[in-house]
Amino acid sequence: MIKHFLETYGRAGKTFFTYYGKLTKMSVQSFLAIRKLHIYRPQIIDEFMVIGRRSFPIVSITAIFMGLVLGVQIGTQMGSMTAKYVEGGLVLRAILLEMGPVITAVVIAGRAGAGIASELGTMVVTEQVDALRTMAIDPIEILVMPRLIAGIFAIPALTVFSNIFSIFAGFVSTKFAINLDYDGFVKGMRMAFHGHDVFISLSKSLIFGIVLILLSCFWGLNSGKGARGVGLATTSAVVSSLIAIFVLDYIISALLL
Amino acid sequence: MIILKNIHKRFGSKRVLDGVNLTLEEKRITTIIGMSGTGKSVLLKHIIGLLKPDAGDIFVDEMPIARMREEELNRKVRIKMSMVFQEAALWDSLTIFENIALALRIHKHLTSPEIARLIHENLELVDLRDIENAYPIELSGGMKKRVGIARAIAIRPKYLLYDEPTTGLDPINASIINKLIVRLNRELSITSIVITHDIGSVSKIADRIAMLDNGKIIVDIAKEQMWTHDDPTYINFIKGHIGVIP
Ligand SMILES: Nc1ncnc2c1ncn2[C@@H]1O[C@H](COP(=O)(O)OP(=O)(O)OP(=O)(O)O)[C@@H](O)[C@H]1O
Ligand SMILES: [Mg+2]
Repeated sequence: MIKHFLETYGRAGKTFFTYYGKLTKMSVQSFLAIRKLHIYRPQIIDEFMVIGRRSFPIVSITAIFMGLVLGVQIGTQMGSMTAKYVEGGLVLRAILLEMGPVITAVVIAGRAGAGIASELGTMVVTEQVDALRTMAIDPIEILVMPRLIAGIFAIPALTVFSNIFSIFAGFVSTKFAINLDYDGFVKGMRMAFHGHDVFISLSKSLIFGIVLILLSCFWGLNSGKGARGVGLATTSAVVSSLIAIFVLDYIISALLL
Repeated sequence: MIILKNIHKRFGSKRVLDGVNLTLEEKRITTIIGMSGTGKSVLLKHIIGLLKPDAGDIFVDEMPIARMREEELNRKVRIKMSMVFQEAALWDSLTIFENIALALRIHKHLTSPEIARLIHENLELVDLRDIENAYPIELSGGMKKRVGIARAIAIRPKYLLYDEPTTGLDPINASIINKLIVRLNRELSITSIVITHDIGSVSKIADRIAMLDNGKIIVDIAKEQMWTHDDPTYINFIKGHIGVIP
């Protein structure tokens, strides 16, 4: 009974540590691979375009509706309690600190992250990754590192767009919800704004971006056999990215705010 | 010369290679035959270091490679060895041109015109023209395999490993590939190791024939003994694949 218990949990524990060991090793190798940046410049540009193009439309749509909802929510709940213009600051900070980086990362994990995992998974299953290795090309250098660099630039950039769209949408919906005019909204934003908020917004999106790209690459490269293996790898990539984003969001908020 | 010494490999509880001993001579075409699922592909992947044996050693030009790290394998072994994959394994996000150019760009300091010329030359060697800008999905199975060969020979390897180069092809395409393997061996002196279960192909290209069965090499003969060798499993295999011995 006890033996059985220990065996079961022993095995689970072992799997857990092998998993983190492999993930850490791949992450370190992909950062080390940055020294070969000059060789893989075309791949980096390609991946930047792919991540940007894949995610921009859905990031924009999500950002706009998130801003609209925030405007209505905050407006109807706070509108009668404080001066109307305060709403501008509330919308701004909610977006910069939380909703912008988190929702953008979540959407990118579902769009670009899933794309990366299934693409790399398919390459493993069809021996394209083995083909790279036989030609002395390191899969981490050519497949992971360019995506990592592309993500480091693309994901914060997408977050900036997302923030701008959300704030604008927040303004529009506040106007309809509590009839706060442009000057009032801007006054509220001015009073609440700290330069620090932008820093936190970008730090969050950078960290989420690095983590979601590495997790997507990791699951893709460790895909099981066949279509089923690729499907599972893609699911694991998205699920683990989402969990990581929410856990890290709490940790960063607790540390930096 | 490549020497396999007592190679063992298992996946979980499944024993695939169980003491493989084999010597692959230079400038020859050695064919390795065997039933589906006996571990021929696994064996080939050991030679180029894609898989590591659980026990035993592999010598490539006297260098023991079984416990080499990836970076050392790249530097010492894979610069003179290439592999043609069972399903070609072309990189499907790249054009045919880029498929062949990739390794050249990364490993050699060549100008764009030099690369273009090399690609043209290698495609010419496998009798393909005007497909540089196509993507792998636009090609037929036989063409993909030939592109796979062009990609593999672009670095002018000393050793070339083929994993079932004619499987799944019609007789005409299979015959084109067989002639190509022989031609590359004769013209570029490429030592070739060809896995196949196509007996017709063996009789056309082999200098030596080895048979893998139950994790061991049970037959290792010269081409001349192809029809006279008397191992029962071998005879069954050959009979089973062509009906009768002529
Ligand atoms: N990475 C792996 N993990 C687990 N089992 C594997 C792996 N690679 C191969 N095997 C198993 O090893 C055995 C031999 O496989 P292999 O692909 O070498 O056969 P083969 O002789 O090439 O067959 P075929 O002629 O069908 O290509 C199979 O049972 C296969 O399931
Ligand atoms: Mg095989």
